[in-house]
Amino acid sequence: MIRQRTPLWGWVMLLSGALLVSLLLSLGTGAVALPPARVLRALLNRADPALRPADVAIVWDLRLARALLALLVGAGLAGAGAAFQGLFRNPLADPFVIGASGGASLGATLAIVVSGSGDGAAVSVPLAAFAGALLAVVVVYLVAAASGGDATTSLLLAGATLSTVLSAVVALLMLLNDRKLQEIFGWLLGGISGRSWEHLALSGPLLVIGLLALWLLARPLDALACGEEGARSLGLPLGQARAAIVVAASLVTAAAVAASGIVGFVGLIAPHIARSLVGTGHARLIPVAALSGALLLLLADSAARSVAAPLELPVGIITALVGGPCFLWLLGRGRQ
Amino acid sequence: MSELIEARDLTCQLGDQRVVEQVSLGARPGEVLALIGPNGAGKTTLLRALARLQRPVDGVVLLEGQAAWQLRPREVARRLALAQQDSAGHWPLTVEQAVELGRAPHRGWLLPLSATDRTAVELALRQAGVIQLRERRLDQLSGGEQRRVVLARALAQEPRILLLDEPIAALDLKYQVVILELARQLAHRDGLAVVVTLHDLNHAALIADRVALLAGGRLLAVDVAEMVLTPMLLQEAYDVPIAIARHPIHGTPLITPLLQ
Repeated sequence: MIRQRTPLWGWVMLLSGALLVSLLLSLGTGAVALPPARVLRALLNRADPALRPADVAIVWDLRLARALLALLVGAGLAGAGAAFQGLFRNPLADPFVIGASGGASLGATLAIVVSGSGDGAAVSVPLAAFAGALLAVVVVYLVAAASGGDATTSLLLAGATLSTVLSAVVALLMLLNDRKLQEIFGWLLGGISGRSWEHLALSGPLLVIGLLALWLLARPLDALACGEEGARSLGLPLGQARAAIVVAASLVTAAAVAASGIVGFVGLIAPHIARSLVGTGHARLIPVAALSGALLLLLADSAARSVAAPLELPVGIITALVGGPCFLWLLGRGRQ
Repeated sequence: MSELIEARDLTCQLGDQRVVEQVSLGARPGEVLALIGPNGAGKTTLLRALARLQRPVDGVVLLEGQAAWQLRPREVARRLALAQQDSAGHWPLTVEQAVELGRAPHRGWLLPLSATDRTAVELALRQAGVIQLRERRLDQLSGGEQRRVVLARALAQEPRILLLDEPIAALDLKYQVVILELARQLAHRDGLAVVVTLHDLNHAALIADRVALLAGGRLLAVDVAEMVLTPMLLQEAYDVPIAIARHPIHGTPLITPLLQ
């Protein structure tokens, strides 16, 4: 037993350590660079007399919420991706596979188009994205349930179709509202810039609760990995298990897109990285995937802020540009 | 003795094709019942229907006297385990993780395994001869090893009824013997009802207390081996001339198809 648990805890410790270091570095990165030691002191004691009030304000008011949000969104997308890959037994599945991204895009786009400039948008856009993502998943789920037959395949097909339809509507709205084109486009590319404690309070609890729920569903996911017939013969109520996984993963995904727009790729590759470290068993896979995703997005967000400073790149561009080739390299190496 | 599992007038369809028609049979505690018959006879479908995986269009399956379709899947899985022909799955778990899943019907889907569960898993790994493979991934095993893992998972369920679909089809000689003896031991020593589909009629003759012969979805005969493994019945089912001798050592029927 000990033999078997060592790699899990080893990886958890390693990833957590890397996450902590990255967090300190990330909090020090930006227009005003702060050394890690000073970041740490600001975190531990806001009233530390040796610190300048401006440094404390930069860490606590400007950067910490954003970094925590990046971390939680990365963890959430990775956890949801692992769950969907397990449910569909499909290595290409990601958190957006059953329509959450299409719904969120439409929701956010509508909110941006309808809202005047600025004021309520900080909250109304995330809420609209959240609602849109969940609504799209509900529609996909109901269509798949009504179709009878192989529910898993129906979910995938309905998800892909609805996503295409919704992107078409978003494209249409963008053409019709060209004054807001940049704002919509920026949201669609995904980014965590300008996010504050307010956004963390909206999305954070759901991300944490949803991830814990997915972890709790590890055994049903393991059973599904052996095929649906095998899972049924073990007495798994297939419909209920599928519904529970879809609900938990979709809440996480919706909370993530509400916070950061459509950040691609983290939810696809983090589960694969985690699987290569600790194997397929979901009780280990989900926490390790979540840690990997958190680390990836935190690093990507730091890069997004510093690569072309003072210009900020959308973090979705970084995850795809850097994550893609890295993943291809991993893939090529693994097959040898 | 009363039947642990029983099919009454069972009729099953795949699509609009009738593959099991009006089959009635049962298995008692402590006996091995072998299902034999040519390809497409309906053996696997009958087994799936007995395991509550295939809903019959007519007739009932009774588990210890209770209608299987009125029990919850988990209650069925606590009493009955099915080791199917292929269930490696897409995402390869380790052998141990796969066998641990067999405890789900008892432990539930959310709680961590208890000490009792661990003991059952250890025993199952040992009985199926896969304990030395426990850390290996399913996709790194041979076909025969995978079959034994599937059997181990079924054993971990600690069922009273064990359904085995072609359990030795891909196994080497040693494990053919090990698994057949295990099936017989589980029935005779531990009192399980074991229902097993077998392709090789001689295997059926060796281990089955009773043999059920299926052809074209219908039950031609169910009785002790000597009564079912006869030239007449087998020729009717398989449509080839067949000679039957006595096994030189075991005294059971020895079946040889004759070349025309």
